[in-house]
Amino acid sequence: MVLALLPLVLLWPALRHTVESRMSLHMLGEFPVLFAAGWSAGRLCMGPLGSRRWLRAQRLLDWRGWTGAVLTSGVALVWMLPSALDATLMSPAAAAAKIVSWWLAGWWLADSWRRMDAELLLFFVGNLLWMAATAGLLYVDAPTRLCVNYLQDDQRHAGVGLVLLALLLGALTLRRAMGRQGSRVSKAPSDNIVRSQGGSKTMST
Amino acid sequence: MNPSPVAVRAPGLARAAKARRVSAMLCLGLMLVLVLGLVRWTHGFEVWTFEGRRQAQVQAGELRARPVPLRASDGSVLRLWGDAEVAPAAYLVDFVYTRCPSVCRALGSEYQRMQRELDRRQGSEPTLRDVHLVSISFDVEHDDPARLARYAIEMRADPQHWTLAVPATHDDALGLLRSLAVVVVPDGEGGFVHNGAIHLLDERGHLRGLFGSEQWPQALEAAHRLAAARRGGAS
Repeated sequence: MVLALLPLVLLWPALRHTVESRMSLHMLGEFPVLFAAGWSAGRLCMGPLGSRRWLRAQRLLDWRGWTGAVLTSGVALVWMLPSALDATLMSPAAAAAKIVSWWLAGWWLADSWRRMDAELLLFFVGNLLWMAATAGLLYVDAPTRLCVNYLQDDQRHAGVGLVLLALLLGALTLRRAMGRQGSRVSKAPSDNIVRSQGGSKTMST
Repeated sequence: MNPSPVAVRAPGLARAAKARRVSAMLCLGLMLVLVLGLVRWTHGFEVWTFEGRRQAQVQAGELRARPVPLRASDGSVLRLWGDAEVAPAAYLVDFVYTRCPSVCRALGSEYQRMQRELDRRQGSEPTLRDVHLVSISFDVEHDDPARLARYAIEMRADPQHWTLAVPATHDDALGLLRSLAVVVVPDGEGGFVHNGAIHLLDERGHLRGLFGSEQWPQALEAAHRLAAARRGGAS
């Protein structure tokens, strides 16, 4: 619950300024925290606080996690653009869009990723990490500042951090995908939740 | 009594088929919004940085300097643009701070050259009298009129051609910089990293051109053309 509401601390201007004054903290600290906060809220929706009706609606909109993959890829792509990153520091509307979109992506993916086929999961995460690593290398190699709000050294640090994050998450995802491949049929949740006449829950694929 | 597997599976399959269709439409919609949004934001996948967007905004004539009160190096309070009745018709503006050891010094020497050109040519080309050089300090806390006056002496600025000024308040400085999309970042060593461009403004404050410091001859000619066009149109 605390993690789900963590983005509210960004309403404290001094803290937000501190976090966003460094490109590395902004991209490698704030973005993941916003995403994790949404993820945490998503898990709460699935847990005791959850509503089966809402889950059913989400799964109608997110067949085998495809919508979650597209949404998260889009959000990550947009906020890796130097001009978009600058805009979040100069426009309250862009800042709000950044917070809401990362939170929403985390919230949506909390349920979505468990229903993805291994092929989609690997393609989606691989694509995301490739994008992050490419952006990171661009930030490292650029001879000038790509974001007007950040110094070049900070840009390089953020670039190195993005590459390292991509490598780390890539390794974790590969391990996870290989581990769950064997037990997918019996454990992974499906798109459909049906209730039998006796009231017991049945998952069907 | 438990339902038969067939009875449970049939609505499940129908629901899955519906979910597949709905999700496909939603994914396509999301991708369409993303692509159209990116096309618009990046000007057709060509502009990826804030500075690039700024150049595009200048081309489209979208930026206008906020008319803020400025304290000049002689202590007077000025409001340089925003009033079409007041000469001059073209301003060449740069943003500096007096403690700057690098960019501002280079800009200062280019401004000295422009000042010499104005002095030399104004007799034969009267429309150059409507071109004025302005250096604005964004370091409001440090650069008061007295410091600016010392800087003006150091730069050999002639008030007839070149005005040095500082916004009256920090908010005025921020408003002016924001209106021209100029970003100033602390360098962590007490100084600033900032835009070193020469900004061509008309008498209303509209940003008409951006020039690198080494492009001062082009900046001066563009200002001359703007002033001539303004005065020609007014007469």
